[in-house]
Amino acid sequence: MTHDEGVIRQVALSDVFKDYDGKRALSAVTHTFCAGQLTALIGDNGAGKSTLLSILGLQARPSRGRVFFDGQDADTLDGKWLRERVFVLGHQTRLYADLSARENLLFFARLHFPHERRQTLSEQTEAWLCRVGLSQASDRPCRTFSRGMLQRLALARALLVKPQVLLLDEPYTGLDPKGVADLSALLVKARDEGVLVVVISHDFAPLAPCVDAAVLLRKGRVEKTAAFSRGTCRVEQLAALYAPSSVAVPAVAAVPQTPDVGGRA
Amino acid sequence: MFFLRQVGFLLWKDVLIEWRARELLLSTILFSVIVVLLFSFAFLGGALPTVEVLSGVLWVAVSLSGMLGISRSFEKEREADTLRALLSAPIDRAALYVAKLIAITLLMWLTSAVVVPALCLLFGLRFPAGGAWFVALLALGTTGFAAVAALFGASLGRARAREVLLPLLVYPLVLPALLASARGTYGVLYGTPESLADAVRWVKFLVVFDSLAIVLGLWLFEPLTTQD
Repeated sequence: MTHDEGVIRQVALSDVFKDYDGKRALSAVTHTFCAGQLTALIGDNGAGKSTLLSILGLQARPSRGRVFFDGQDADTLDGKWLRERVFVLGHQTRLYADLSARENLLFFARLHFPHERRQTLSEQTEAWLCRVGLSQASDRPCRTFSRGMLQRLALARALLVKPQVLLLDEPYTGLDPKGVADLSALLVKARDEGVLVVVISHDFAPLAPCVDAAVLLRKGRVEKTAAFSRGTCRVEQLAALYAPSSVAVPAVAAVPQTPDVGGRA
Repeated sequence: MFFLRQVGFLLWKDVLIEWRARELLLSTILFSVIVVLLFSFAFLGGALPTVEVLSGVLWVAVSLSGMLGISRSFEKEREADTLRALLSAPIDRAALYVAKLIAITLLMWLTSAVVVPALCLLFGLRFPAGGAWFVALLALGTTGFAAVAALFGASLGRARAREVLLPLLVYPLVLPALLASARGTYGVLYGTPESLADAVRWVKFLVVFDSLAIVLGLWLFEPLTTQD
């Protein structure tokens, strides 16, 4: 029983609809996301990608349909248990402008691990600040940070809390070339450690080499899905998937959309 | 134990941010002083207002400035979407409610600590007896106000016109506490044994009101902050 074991291996959406003020954002979305895979969620602006990510990240409830974590309806699972394991990094970095980078990381680390010793959390905080290249700026208030630095810090916070489901909306925004490369390496590492990673991005170049699966959303519906052997996905393949249906999709293997929502990995 | 620790982390964050920015405290105190000054201009040249009026002036100033501070406090959390970050963290939602309740109460107590001397200075407010009951009324009245405001401040989420909705929701619900505080304050300021006994009855009423408001807040905070 995954809930008892504490490990999430699969997140499935079953016939999910979402309406905002009478406008349909998602229609009949059925798809399964697996742990140890990085899935690219692609589509035009307004296609419903961020809405889908919010539903996966339990920050929005479907108007209709169900979300299953290893076959168990999310509504029946303990909210705190899920929040320990699922992390969403959206458009906003959700950092406190008047706290320093170190204080922000330490604060969120302490919320996630209240039983952990402060010394241990401080060491982990320092390690992550170093890993995202913010050691020199760790005492500066975040209000003085550039967009790229905030994005790095937000990523450090996302990975510091060791989520099992990591959902990122346009994570490459504002990053310099080194930051982009570092982020891709961190995502691959998380994926290889068994984290279920879903990334929304219009920037295919850094993302493609990391992608194991891709989902194309159009007008709130899953239009195409694709699976790739590890490390073989190329930018052209994602671009072809993204292209209108009349354009051929080279070397993309179609995968069935209907998951076994009650199944276990 | 973890619950108290989480409350401590959240409160530490709020206090540290306010200590650095001093935005909420200064704006709230300034607003409360302006309200008291406006009332003092209204009575300029005439006889000093009665204790009934003074009691009203005190609670109008405290409740208006308190609402301004509370509203700004939650708006600040929403601007950078940090409220969502807190709601997404694996903490007891009740811990978030308690931390916000304490932070708002502290803000209102500090505001009261400025309003009362201002009333003494401008209106010649005196306490013939029952100073301790006056402090109890202030503490309980503001705590009851904060208990209701903390619940709705966080739960309005990204609702449209939430700045307008917050006072519209909070004031009707805290009306019993505000009336009790004003009547109790009048009793203390009037200073007769009968009026003091009346003030003690209002203190007891406020203890019950605060207890109910806090219990309901702890109970309702999680369902009200769950996203649609």
